[in-house]
Amino acid sequence: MGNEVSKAKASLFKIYGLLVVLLILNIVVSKSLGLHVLAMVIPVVMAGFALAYFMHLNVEKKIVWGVMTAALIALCGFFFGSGSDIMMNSGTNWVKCNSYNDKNMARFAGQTQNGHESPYEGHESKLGLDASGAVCTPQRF
Amino acid sequence: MKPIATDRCATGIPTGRLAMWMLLPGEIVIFGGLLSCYLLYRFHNPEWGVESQHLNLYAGSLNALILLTSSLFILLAQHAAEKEKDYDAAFKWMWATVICGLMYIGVKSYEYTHEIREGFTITANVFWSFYYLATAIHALHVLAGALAIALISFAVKDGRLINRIELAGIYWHFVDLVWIFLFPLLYIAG
Repeated sequence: MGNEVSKAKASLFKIYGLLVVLLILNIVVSKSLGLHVLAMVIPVVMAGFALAYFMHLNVEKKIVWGVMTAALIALCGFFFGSGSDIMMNSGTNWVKCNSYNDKNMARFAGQTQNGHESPYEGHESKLGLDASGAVCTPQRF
Repeated sequence: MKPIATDRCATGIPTGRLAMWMLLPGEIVIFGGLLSCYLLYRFHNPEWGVESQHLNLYAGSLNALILLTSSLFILLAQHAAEKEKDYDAAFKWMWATVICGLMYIGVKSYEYTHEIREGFTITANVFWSFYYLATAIHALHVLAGALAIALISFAVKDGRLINRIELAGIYWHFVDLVWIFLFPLLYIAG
């Protein structure tokens, strides 16, 4: 019994040590080597260990797994549902006025940026230019 | 007829623990929504990488280490109370967790003071709005968790309400988990 208790305690320190090593690895690898994609992969691994061994999700009943999965599905719904709105500057019948900033004004003027055409090409009639030629309330980001 | 809240549990999970697991999905949606929104904007604004250079990586790393260590402390408290029946040790480990939480708040306050003095306020640009919103909401969660652990500790010292260490621990580990994602997103990948 006493042996099992000490083993359980030792395993807590082992998981903690592993998480600290992963944290240091995350910082060193990402900042020194510039591997920013790894900066997001390592936290997922750390989260897995924390969920399984710190929060005891590995021995928890399936209903808890179901509840957490439902939350993640809802999150994915919000992410992909709003993603198109954030990532796009114009659609069939709309233009995002609030996306204007200095770089977009240059694009609108017909200049290309990184070889891509202006996202507002063909949508000029929707922009509602006023007498001075200014577009709808440009917002600074 | 036994009361449901304290004794009966249809799912086979103690009601307190089930309630805590029901709380966490709400928190996942809050923080996950905020972080995924930040990610989408970040893809659209590569110049934010310059802004994130002004964040203090050492302070962020220290906070990550503090929270990881505090997670270990609350686990040791749970182990001491449930397995070893040493309630004094559990009380000390719980207060070590609370102190870690307060240290986190202290480091965060130092960061905020330094950044605001440099002119990087919440209205500086959208990156800083995301930074202050996400980290401030997280800091409030840390404070609330530390307060809950502090309040529970006095009952634990008397050998009462031992199961609540695990409940507070689940919440505390989640708060740690959020920083595990927040830190690289804002400080490293930025």
